[in-house]
Amino acid sequence: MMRGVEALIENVIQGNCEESVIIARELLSSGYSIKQVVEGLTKALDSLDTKCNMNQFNLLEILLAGRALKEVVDGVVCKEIEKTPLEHGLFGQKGTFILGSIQGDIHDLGKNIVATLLRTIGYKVIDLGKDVPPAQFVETAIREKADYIGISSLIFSTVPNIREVKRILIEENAQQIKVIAGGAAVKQVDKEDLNVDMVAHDAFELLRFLQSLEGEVAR
Amino acid sequence: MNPLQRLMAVLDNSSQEKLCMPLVFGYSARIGEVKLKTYLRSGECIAQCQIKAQEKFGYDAVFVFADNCVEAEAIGSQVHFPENAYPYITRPFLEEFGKLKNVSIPDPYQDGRMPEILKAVHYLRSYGGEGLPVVGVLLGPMSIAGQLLGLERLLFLLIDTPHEFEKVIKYTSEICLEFGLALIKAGVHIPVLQDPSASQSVIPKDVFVKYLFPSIHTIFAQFKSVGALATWLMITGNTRDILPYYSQCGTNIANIDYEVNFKEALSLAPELVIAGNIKPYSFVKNTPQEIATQAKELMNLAVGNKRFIVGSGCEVPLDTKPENLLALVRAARE
Repeated sequence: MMRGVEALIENVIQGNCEESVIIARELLSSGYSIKQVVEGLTKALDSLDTKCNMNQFNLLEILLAGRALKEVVDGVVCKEIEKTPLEHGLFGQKGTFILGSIQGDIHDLGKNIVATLLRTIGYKVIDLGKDVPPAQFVETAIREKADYIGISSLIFSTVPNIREVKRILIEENAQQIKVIAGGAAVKQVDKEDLNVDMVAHDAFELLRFLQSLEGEVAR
Repeated sequence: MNPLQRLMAVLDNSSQEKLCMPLVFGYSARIGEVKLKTYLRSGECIAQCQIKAQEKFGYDAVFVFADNCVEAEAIGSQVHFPENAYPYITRPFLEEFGKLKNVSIPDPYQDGRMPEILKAVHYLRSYGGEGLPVVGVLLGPMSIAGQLLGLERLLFLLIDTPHEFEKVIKYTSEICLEFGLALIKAGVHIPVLQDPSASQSVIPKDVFVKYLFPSIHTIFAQFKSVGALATWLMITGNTRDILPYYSQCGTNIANIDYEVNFKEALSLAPELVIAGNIKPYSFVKNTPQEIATQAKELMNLAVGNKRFIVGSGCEVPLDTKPENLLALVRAARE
């Protein structure tokens, strides 16, 4: 029996990687559009967001769902778009994100999950990896004409490095690039103290923030 | 009452005084005016800075802890030490899982910085004698495993090949046990098992109960059998649903982070001593008055409950304002 988008959503939420890919392929071959598949993935994200808000969140579940999302995006969605790029011209046009774990921190699990989620909803992500100096965030963001810099940090002692990013952006006259910080270390800290435009308490808060900005642009 | 008597009274549920134990680890290097890198690699330096900090602020313990890389480094992981920040592992030691077959349990008396940590314990015991609790902090099985494999790989291992995950946890539990036993033999009054990766923020409750609960239970039973006065479990982040299991693990003191409601924690684990749970960043951001207010609020919530240690939910940050720690201790003593 043919399974619908609901099955894709459920399997992504459950982190069933292989099954999610199979269902996504089935959907496309039976006439569903890429847009409908991506909408399904977005619904899966919304559902995870709801769990997160109810404090039923843990990193493992999000990691597994993130892996399933990534497999569907990389293995099905992107391949389909490559076949007919003109038809899907708007994909990847939401904006460019420079992402990395700040200097002094080599944890990258949360950052990797965020990168997957951002790519899923249509952002171009340039991942600078771990232990990234503040200046490198800025240089890359300017060179790539990025819209956002996303800084991840799990450890407290990196806070002075996070503060540096905005300062260098202003020095380079590039303060239009929004700086967003996230990760266990920064959850306790205000955006003013970190000298950033937003502190995301979790990946979904970041997505909501981006949606609100998209809404502003649309108006 | 001296601090050790105060601690014993809290453990016996007969305390008339408040016990104050903010988690002062690397911050004591700032008080001792030495570089963190120096502090983390010298047992003598750890001991001297801990003494200076305890004397300056007057809280009820000294803490023997370097950083989260000690155990992984003793196994052979390469560690990078920045000048004034905590170190990190440059490459997971068990990049190839098969390597697990060939690794042995590190010898606390020989490997890595473990001997330095033991040296700090000896030094502090000879300084504090039987009046000042020496609290020894070691990393728990899940967090050591995360350091050896990288947390992402460890979590995928848990789902994709749970039998291999179990092998890793068995191995890291043995590391934890051996190091803890050595700490107690060296003179630690209370061992603290610090396992941030075991938090509900990272894994679901069921995983904690199935894989970590038995290990912690065994470790704590062994610790008590060699003379630990009590066992202290410190899991940061959300621990609400696993708190009721702490007692069955053999835990006596539960540290709770600011993410857990303090009043709820008291009711979820009434047989435990609850320690915490002031937000660590408050010691940087807030004023002494605000810290005193937060401490008093916690003490008011704990009225009638003698099994309570006022302190921070996690380690106090390296740029803590000294006046805030003083305010905390004063509030506890008032």
